[in-house]
Amino acid sequence: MTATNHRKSGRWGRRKLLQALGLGAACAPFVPLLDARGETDPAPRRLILVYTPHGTLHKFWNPEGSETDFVLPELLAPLAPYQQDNLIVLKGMRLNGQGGAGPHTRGMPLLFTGSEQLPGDKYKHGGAPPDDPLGWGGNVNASIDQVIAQGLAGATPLNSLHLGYQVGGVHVANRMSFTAPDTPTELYEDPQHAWDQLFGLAALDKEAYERLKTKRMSSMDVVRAELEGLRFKVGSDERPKIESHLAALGDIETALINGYQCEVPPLGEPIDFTANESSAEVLSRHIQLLAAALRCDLTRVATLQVARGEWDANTYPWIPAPMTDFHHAHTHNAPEGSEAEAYLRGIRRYYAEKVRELADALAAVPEGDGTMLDNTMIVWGTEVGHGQTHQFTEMPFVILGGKSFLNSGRFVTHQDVAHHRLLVGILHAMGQTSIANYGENDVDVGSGPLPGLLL
Amino acid sequence: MQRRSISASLWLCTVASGCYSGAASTGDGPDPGATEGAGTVGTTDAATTASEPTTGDAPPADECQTIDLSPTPLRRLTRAQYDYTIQDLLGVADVPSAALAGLDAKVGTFDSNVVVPLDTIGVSSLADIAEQVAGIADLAGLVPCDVQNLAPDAPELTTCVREFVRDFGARALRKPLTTEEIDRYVGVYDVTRALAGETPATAVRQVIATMLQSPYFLYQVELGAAAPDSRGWTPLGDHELAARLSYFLWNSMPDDALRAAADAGLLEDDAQLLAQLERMLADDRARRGLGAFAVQWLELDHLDWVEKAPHPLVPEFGDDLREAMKREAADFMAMVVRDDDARLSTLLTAPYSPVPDELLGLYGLAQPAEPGGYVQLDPARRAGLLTQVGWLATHANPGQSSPVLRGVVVLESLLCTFLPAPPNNIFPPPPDPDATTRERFEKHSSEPSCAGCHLYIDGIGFGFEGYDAFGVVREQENGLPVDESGVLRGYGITDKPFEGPVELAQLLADDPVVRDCVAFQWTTYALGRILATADTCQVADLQDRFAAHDGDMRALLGDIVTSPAFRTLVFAAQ
Repeated sequence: MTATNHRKSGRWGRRKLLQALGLGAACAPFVPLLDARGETDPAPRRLILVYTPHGTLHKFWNPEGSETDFVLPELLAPLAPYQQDNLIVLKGMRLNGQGGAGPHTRGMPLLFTGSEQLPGDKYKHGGAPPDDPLGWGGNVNASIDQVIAQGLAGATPLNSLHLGYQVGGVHVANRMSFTAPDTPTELYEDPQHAWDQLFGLAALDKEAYERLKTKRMSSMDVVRAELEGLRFKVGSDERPKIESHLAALGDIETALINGYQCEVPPLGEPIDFTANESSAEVLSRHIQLLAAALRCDLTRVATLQVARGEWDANTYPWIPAPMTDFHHAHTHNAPEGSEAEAYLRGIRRYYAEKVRELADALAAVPEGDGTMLDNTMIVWGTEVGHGQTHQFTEMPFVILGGKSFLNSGRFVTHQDVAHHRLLVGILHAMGQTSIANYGENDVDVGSGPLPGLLL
Repeated sequence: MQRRSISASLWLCTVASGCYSGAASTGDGPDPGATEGAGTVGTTDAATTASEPTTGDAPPADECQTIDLSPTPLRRLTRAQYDYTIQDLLGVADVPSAALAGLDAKVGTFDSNVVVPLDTIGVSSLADIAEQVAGIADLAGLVPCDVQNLAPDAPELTTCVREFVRDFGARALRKPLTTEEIDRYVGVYDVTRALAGETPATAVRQVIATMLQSPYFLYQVELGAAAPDSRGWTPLGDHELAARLSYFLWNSMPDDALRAAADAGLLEDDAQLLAQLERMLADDRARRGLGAFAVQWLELDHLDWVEKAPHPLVPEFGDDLREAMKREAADFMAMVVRDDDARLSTLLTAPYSPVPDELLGLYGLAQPAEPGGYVQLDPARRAGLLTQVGWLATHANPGQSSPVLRGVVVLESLLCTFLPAPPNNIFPPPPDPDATTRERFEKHSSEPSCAGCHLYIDGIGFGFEGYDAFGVVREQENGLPVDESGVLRGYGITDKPFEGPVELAQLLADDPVVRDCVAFQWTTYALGRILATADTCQVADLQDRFAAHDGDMRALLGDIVTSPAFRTLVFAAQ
């Protein structure tokens, strides 16, 4: 049971909830949260950011037709069931920023933070000075999912949930979500691990749960005392590491005390969750976990990261390739009409199928007069427009779901509009309506949400 | 020779857009920082001469008067260090730590966790692993009484548990415990013991699980032995220095002898510290630390994901072969330092290697090495680390050699020369059954806009054209003779022509630029942090000593561990 970045743990109002339910303090630790939300309450809005690597092939991605009457081409065709009223295809978006490093590297953290990487020496080879443009000093913002999660803190047991597959080690170019400047958000790569953390305690009987809780609280008390003792003894620059560790302990403890009840989703046999062949299965399990977590209202903000911007080393072995090599290498050598291009089309079509699978999982959950998908905004992005040109223009953004608050069912052509406007639009959709500009802009990109996005 | 200061970033070349002769798998490479530098920043003229920018505050290295140091970051154990520590502490060999892989970061090419703090997923993962490990540890050798069979109310348990906390705790937390700390851990025992369904043994396991979550276990906690002076310096405490030494050499915790030396305050004396170094190098655990340096320095950890096309000698490139390739380089480094003459020149030119059995075929050999011994290789074709099949295969394309990948790694790892990112819209030269790899790249790189960088990259990389994608020796490619002549160029190195990899290896082994760079890399690895401008004079001092010892790496390790940088905790200026 975990709560990423659950910084305002006090606000999750268990006491209030119990009062509302007419229950006393002696109630079991498991509070059925779904029941707590009355049938008449409006469904909460939710956000899922999805990342897939290395851009698209525009020739097979750009829809044809008008804003409301359009045909989805090969790379978006799997999304057709949602075309009518739960899909927005955004053409003509620009990833706005320069930064110090190569395009895959800087596009990745730029995507959802809107912030450029600073020169610096935090992530790089040794040997170059702090002001060396070869270095990466990280970025200067949190990503929007974290801003939204902070705003919702206390509403759900977990502020946000982060899942990924083949994301690589900790580096700004390997992560889509940032809890703070320079600080990539931790995520689950092993579905079993995520399941254990999300649902493992909920699967225990009350006696076993209470015993485990007592033991863990006792251990955490000791760890906390030691961390507190170190807090002001380590150098001031190092203190944030201790404080982050302490805050994490607080999150874990809060979740342990409050507990939650949830319908525990099934979990398949153990698999090698890092293997190239496991991609489809791992992503399917992640999607099922995500849907289960949203259904229980464990969280309302999530990210799903497929591979990484720096270098997708998966071969997608079930897709025919002209020669042995991995995804990223092929993006550099795929002229029009080549076998390598066909291979890349296969990969990008596969991504669309997985995004469709996510939408399907949410659409299968009834909510109010519609489904959970209608109240969930899935935003799908990538770190460069095209893997060969490395352009930051014509970024292929797709939004699925969220029709209860989005002006959906459209194919919208923008004229080179900075993606910061989309970020602001997402922030507004999720309740952060006081934010007019987000990210770092050298040029005037205008302010406010992307025009026409919200109802 | 002119020595550059750390503040000098090397811009040997510039990138012009529109052309790039990278191989199919290179370009903006896998390692952040390795090949994706700043394509749009840096030198603005197209000159191909090396220059030394004058950024930073440190004096040029040859004008050093005093040693300055940049601040010491708090390091969290890497996954490998975590695993080895649990192995040495508890005897648990198979640590279920897969969840920690995504928490590891790099400093340069080396594993080190100094930047990103732990958050909730990390902390809860560590708790889970701690509980699992504590659940399977054999308590027999750890607890001073028979805790598994004693009656739950046996009177000796009180003393026994307290002694266990004190003694095991000192090993787990890598420092003597205060009375208050002992009380806290005994408190965990008491709380658990009081629960229905728990026993003295399970309560001890809960204490172990707690210790494995302690910050003193998870981090290399360094607080210093005294108040910092005006520079923010304080000597490391005895046990802090012991831990630095053991994590440097063993990738693991100190053993009893090292702890005893720390307890006795012996490590404050250089001679005693060096005696410990010698003792620890002789221990088999030194293979871990020395080997990890070799693997990470040469980026052989890329073997975890590089792909290979089917090869006549390797129908399928599996994990056993990948691990064998890493092991050869790791064992070779350990053997050169521990059992051989420890010279950098030996590392880079020796016509022998501890070839693992799995790789014999790639070398065209049949006779395996004696256990723990070397295999003699063809001195006309093999010379040191850079001609081992593992390095050659890692830095190649799946089905073909790559002069670019190999050239770039030599420049970055051995010459400490960094390159800007390649331009955006490049097409590598396509495979051609009627040409050699060299011919394809030469043609492609001859564009004036490409030649600026490729002069340096390919000049080195072409020297390895006598090896295929798996590092197997070849005399012909596509029926054409291979040409393995090249020119070594780099910062401080004016054109040095060579014929083939053995001559190139000799040039590298003799070059003071390489020698200085290797000292720099070892120092980065030992400290686990970025060497910044302020460290220029410290690094220059170590480089001078390495030169004076004629490239003796064993002496370098001694100079590093007795250096101010290794012995000192530096607080950042307020």
